[in-house]
Amino acid sequence: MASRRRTLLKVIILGDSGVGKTSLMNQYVNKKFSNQYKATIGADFLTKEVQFEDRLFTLQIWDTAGQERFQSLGVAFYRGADCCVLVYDVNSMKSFDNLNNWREEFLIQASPSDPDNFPFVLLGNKVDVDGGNSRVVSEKKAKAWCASKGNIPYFETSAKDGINVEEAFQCIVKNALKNEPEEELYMPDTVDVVGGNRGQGSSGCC
Amino acid sequence: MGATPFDFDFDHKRDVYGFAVRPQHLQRFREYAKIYKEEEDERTHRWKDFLDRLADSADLPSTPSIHAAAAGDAESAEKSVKEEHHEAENTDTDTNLEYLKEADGNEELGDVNGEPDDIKGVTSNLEKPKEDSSSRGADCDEDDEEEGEAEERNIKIECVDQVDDNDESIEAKGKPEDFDDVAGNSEKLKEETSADYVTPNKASEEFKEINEGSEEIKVINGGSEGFKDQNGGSKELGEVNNDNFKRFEETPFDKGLLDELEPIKVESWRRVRASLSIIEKMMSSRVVKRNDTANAISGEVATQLASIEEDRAVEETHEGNSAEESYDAEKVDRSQDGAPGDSTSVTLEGDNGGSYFPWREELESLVRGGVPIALRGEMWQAFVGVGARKITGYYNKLLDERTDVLDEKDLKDQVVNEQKSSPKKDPKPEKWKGQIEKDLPRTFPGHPALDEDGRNALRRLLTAYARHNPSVGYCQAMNFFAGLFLLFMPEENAFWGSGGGH
Repeated sequence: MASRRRTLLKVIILGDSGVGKTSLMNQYVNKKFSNQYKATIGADFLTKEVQFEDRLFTLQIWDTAGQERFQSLGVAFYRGADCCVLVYDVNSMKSFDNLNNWREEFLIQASPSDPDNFPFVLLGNKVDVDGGNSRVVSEKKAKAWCASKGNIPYFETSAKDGINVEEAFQCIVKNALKNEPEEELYMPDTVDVVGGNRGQGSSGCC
Repeated sequence: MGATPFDFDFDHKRDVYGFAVRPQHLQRFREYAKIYKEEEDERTHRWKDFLDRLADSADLPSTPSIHAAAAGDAESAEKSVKEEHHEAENTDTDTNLEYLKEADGNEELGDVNGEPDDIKGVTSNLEKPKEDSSSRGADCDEDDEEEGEAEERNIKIECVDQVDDNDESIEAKGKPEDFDDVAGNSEKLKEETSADYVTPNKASEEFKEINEGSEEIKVINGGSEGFKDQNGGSKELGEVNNDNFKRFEETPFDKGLLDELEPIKVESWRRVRASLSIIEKMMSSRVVKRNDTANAISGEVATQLASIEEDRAVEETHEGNSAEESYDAEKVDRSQDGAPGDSTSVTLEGDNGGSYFPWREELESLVRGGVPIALRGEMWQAFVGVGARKITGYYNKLLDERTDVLDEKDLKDQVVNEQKSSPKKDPKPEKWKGQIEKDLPRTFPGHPALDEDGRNALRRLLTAYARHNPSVGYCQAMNFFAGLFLLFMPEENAFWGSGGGH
């Protein structure tokens, strides 16, 4: 149990419809970009093995539908998330304005134990579009928003060109693990009860 | 385009629906495609056989006698017309027709004897088969000739007014300028095109629909139906419609003259082929009977009016599965007492006794075995009772009229509805518009049917539904259902088949 908790990281990607959530996920996991994604219905997820600080994690990335009305499904999807990735389209002010809603909705529905410190990561996607000329949300503005929400890490990405995607997800993994030490306090008990036959049990000490 | 959905096209790497097969599945796809084709041929054969027998035994009470040959002709002609339409308009999967043609060819071998005394859906005509056979692959030529002969024979049998019927059907598809002798229709058309005419117009439409419904159920004749098709077919921009209708106003309702008019509109409504009209009739009549058994098939206007209302309530249950949740508990309850379980068995076991439709068990088993792709779209429509649900002109009114007028006139209404369903929403009407636009390119991306015209049709269909049912509006995933419907049937049929009836 202890090992499972530590090796599986659940990440939720949220954001308005069409900002590129699916594309980001696919770029990261499959290193591919397609102009032909279908609209995501409900939710979808991909997994990827990632190595971080000598430990192997299974990153379970949940890609959600952007349309507002699917938020009612959120409870089921959000619960147990280790990190929430908020995505907006730098060419769409509305998608940026909605970030507050997404964040609050997530905190309500996922009801993490420590909402103030729950790890979010913000991605401003589609920086490649039109060479940046159609951009309407400045980096400054995005960073100001991040600062106001407790220094959320911010990345400007292009799922199409693969810009910053790897870096962003590295950060996501790192942040997803930020919550872990707290839980590790409980682990020793669990491990003792179960017995010491799990190899990974020792890795918790690192 | 270029790929051929509804065909087993190994080279183009698309499945029978026109969807690209993933490279990693191509090998398996090729292995199984042949088996699937065999099975599909078998299915086609069984259905053809069933429909033929159905038509032959058409002396059932109040069942129209549809002759097999006539039915066959209807199929072929409709298909050819459909094909022509597709090629001309590039709307839908023009590619999906190759399969249709094949199946068609198989089906055309039926006998051609007897009296075709119901030719409502029969669209045998003398030009189409030639084009048909020329555009068809060489392997089907034989069938085509036979089909052409059959049609000519039929036409000899038919008297003049029946030929008119044929014209109608054809024009409903390719050359929609066809009006019948109903003088009142012209007025109605004017009304429908005028933007400020809302409520009474709807009433008159319903009245029309009633007429149509009764015609369909009784399958008396094809008279005065072509105009409805024509009207339903007017999905182009309002201006075009208006022009079109003005011409009608100025033109006497002379079929010969009207035939000369240029086809302006794209096909968007097509009647279910004649050979399926018996099934459609059954599906419609069980709904009618649920409400008023005595007068169910009488065709009286008053009865029909009531029963169509009931019709919608009942069918809401069946459709709730796909396009939307059945949110209206009252209606669901009302209809569920007689309709638990899946819609097929429900409809088949409905109020019609076994003696009434002695073939219902066979139909049931056939449906369970799968409907051949060539028949599927129409079979869906027959089962849903699209013809009975349709309110002539409603679809176009949703699209044309409300585009401009809606925002002021229906704003309050819509806001209320929107907020009812989701209190957090902006009080802005038609906020789903943007979502639809986002999803159009994300619906079956890469599918040959969803080129520009296909997407326009999809946009109209989704828009119409959202306006028709503003409390639901547009929800992602509807695009896939709507897109699928559009692969199988014309636009307006898809609207009435996919939830437009309630």
